Amino acid sequence: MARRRRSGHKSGRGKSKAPLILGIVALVILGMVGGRMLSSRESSSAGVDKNFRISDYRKSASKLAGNRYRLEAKVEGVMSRRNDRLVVVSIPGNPKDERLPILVEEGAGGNVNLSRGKTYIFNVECRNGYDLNGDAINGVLVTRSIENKL
Amino acid sequence: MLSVLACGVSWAQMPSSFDASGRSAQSESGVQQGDAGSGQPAGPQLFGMELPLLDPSTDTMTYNGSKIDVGNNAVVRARFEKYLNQKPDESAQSKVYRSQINKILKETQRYVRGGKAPGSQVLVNIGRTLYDIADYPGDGGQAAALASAIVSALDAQRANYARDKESEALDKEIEDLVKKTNSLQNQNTQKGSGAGAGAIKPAAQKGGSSTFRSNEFRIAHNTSKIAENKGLKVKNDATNAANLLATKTAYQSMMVSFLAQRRYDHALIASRIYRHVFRDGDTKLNLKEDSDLNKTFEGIGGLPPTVAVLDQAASNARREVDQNMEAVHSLLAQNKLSEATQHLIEAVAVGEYMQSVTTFSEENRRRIAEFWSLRKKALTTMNHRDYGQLEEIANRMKSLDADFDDSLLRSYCAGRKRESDLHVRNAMKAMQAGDETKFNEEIRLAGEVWPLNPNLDAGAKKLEEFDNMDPLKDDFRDLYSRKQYRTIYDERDKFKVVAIDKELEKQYMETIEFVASIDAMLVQLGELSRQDRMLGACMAYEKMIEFRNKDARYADDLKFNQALNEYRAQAHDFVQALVDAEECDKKREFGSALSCYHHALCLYPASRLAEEGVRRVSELILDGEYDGGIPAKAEGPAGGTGGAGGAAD
Repeated sequence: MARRRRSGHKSGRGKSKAPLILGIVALVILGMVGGRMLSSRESSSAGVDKNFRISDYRKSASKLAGNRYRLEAKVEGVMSRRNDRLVVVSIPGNPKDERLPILVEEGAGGNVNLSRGKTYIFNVECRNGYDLNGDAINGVLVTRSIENKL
Repeated sequence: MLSVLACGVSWAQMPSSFDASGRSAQSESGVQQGDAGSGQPAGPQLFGMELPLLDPSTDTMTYNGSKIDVGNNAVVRARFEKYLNQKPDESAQSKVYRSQINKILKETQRYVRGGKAPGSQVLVNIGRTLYDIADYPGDGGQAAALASAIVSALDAQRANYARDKESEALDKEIEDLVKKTNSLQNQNTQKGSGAGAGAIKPAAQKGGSSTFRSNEFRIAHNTSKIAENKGLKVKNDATNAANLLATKTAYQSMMVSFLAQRRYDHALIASRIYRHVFRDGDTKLNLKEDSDLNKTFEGIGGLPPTVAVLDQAASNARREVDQNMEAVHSLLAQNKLSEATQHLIEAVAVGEYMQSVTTFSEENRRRIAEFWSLRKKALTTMNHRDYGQLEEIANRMKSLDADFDDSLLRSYCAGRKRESDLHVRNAMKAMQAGDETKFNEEIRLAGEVWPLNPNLDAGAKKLEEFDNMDPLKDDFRDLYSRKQYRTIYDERDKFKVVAIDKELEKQYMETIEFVASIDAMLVQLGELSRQDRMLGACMAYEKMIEFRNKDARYADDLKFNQALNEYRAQAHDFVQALVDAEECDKKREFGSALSCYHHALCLYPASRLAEEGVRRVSELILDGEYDGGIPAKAEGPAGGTGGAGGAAD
């Protein structure tokens, strides 16, 4: 910019509009670059279901079966069984003393290394299942994928 | 008098089986076994029970076949108590009296040692001195009696002396008369024959001259006079002998009387001057043979009793008393009251009028009097069978004298108490068995052994309860069957009697302990909830739920339920989270249930119910399959998995 500013002095009066144009162009370019950067930063949180209420899930998880959610959540605790993990998270916008359990089956986490206290984007689906005896288990949030929150 | 002397001697040898030290002096064990082996009960019995009664005739107390001698007879006790309550005689008059007595004793001692024999004047002076001090009340007129005896003896001696002089004059007169008579007879013989003497002529016998006849008359007169004088002389001798014997007897009686009355100083003075008053050298005591007194003073080997024996007895008694008093002072200095009392009893019994005894200080008398009164009280209390008080007296005596041997009293009390308590226990057993007759009998026996046994009151109360027990049993059974434990607890005193019944005892005790434990728990939880209202309420609620889950009886207690409701209201969010978790659990919405349990944990991090729910439901979720397949049994929501064990209601 400094070079562009210096070239403006050499053009004289006819050239006096050139810095203005260059400045406008530069501003436009900077705006585009900044916007791109901003848009890329927002892309990891984009589509997050900010209106998800844990209390609603507690009341009737069965009714949510089949629904998918993209949740930004902070890991409060992890319980492992073989390669499966049951993660307990808190979600911004909910009371701080409410927790949501999310099942992370083997491979669902990809390369994301879940650590307690960190925030991730969980793509989950509310599913029904069954236990070893074949009895139903209703409304468990199962992870489809996890993203690191940038 | 003999009995008095015997009494005095017996005091000197006084046995003291149950002495002031609380043990027998006759036997070191403190107890004499009475009638051992005879098979006969040793003491008086009443209702089949041996009574620890005091026998005043022997001053012994009989208990359990053993005789415990109370030590002193009543006379000694009375005199000893009189002595303890008197003040020491420290008046000026008493000092003069003691000084004069000591002076006389010292003076007479010289004559015993073989010094110059005292003349009559010395003896008279002793008598005068004794007369002078006879006014002293503590002397009891003994000095005057001794003075009189001395003077009487001297007067008798003087009278005898006068008679002796008269006899001598008669002897001389007889001698003169004999001479004159012989001379007259010679004259008559010479006038009648002129031949050798002794030859009387018949002429002179038949007619003779007037001289001859005159001589004959004079000879006859002289002969008569001689016979008369001889008769007088014999009479004088007999009078002297009788007079001397009577005087000696009176004097000796007085000496023995002094000894019997424990007036050893007077006895010593009298015996020491005896051989100077009666100078005939005869010191044998004129005692009637086979009399007690004669036996008492009979010398070793059956030799006749003499004044010296009496002197020796008085000296020994004095020495004994003085040694006892020295021991008393020494023991008092060591605070050994029981032994000091024992020695003082002996000293007073033997030598009540001795100077060392009469001047014993008032303070020391008070100390011993206190201990003595406790000893008397112990005997009385033992006789009344008040063993509680007897133990207190033993404690008091022990506190006054650490060396006091109270083992006899204590073991006696303990034995009798145990015996009485055993009867009470048997009575209680009889009550439990419903045997009223045996109950009455055992209570009666317990009362006889120990009338003031405090357990007897309990027995009487039990008897009253016994009568009212049947309706109470019915009430108790009714309340227990309706699980009205709190009502039973509130009226536990009324229902206590049903515990006598073995069948109901366990139920009663369990009920009381259970309700009491609820109350104790509620108090404790109340304290904790006051410290932190929110967490305390959560904790109290959870604890009460745990108790209720363990024992269904808690749910029947009104107070427990009231408290539970209060804590439920205070910990509403926590309780609601648990309730929601349980409902979700039942609907097998484990994700929701787990969320609820976590919510409860956030509200009360120490919650064991929530912790357990989290663990259990998490495992269920992890064990499940969520691949979209439909298992054979997966036909919608099924029944619950048991939830959190009835955590919430």
